[in-house]
Amino acid sequence: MNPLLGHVLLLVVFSFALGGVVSGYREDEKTAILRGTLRRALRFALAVIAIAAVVFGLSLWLS
Amino acid sequence: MASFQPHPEARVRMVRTIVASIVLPGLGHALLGRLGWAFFWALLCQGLLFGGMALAGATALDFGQWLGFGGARFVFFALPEAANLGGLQLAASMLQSVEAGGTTPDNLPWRHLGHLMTGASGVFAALGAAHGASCALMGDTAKLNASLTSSSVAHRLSPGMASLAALMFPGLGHWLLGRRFKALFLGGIVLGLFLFGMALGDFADMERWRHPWYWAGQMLGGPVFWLVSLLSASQRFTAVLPFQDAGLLFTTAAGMFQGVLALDAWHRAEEDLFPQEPTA
Repeated sequence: MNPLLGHVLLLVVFSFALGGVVSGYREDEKTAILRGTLRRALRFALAVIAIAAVVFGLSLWLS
Repeated sequence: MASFQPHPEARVRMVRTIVASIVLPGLGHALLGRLGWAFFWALLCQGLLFGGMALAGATALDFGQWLGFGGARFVFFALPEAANLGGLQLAASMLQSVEAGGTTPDNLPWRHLGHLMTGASGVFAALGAAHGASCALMGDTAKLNASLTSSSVAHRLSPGMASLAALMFPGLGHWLLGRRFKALFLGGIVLGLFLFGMALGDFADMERWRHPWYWAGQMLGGPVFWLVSLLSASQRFTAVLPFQDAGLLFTTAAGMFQGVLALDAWHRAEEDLFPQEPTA
């Protein structure tokens, strides 16, 4: 498997797991947990992708 | 719905019980007069610690260190055994690793099981402290609120038992509290993440010798994680796997998430006992 694709898939899996656990801790209703999972997973994944993009840009600039 | 409040001094008593239980598992229960539970936690935690030390030649001590000041040794620290603080101090004072920090490697056939047992003693000691705090809370509550007898407290899962159940199997605490969706959802996440991480690491990523800090986090997963680790004890990394690091991260995160589930089970059980009046 392409390493980049593999890492993106792993990021998606981990983001949803993290989002699910955090939402399960903060909420007690099914719909709130599911909505919270989606929202938190997307936020976390986008934050990681943004940091990765900045690091990649810096590495190009500094090399 | 009736609204009950904990005894004003219950929180203080809970903290006292937690501290006493960490110093010596069972001591907190003994101070509350719960001698049966005190013996249970003391025997469980010290039996696992010293049994594990015997099986693994006390090599668990190679993964900790004495903390002190000016050459004086105050306290021995190793994770997760440190939650059984008194037992660990006794073991560190009495025993010496047969491998002396790795300088004299030895063939120890029960090493893996031994380390799982010493680690389990720490995890159970932490849960024992939570159970003791729950006993303090429930005892005071029942004393003060005569109305909380058969129909309320007695038929509800105590916070300590809920968190203990959550540790025994991912999601079990929530299931017993009647939160079936959360039990399946959160338990599925924890188990799925752990097994997926193990698969990424070729089932060799729960090994204290290679990754002692990851291992401490993985141990929080409870008996299911320990059993999988025991069954895969013979597995070794034979090559650098493409997603080995992710496997370690996933299994360790799953262990920590299991800790979050136990905390949530406690919190929800307490919430059920002391429902808040809806605010206008």
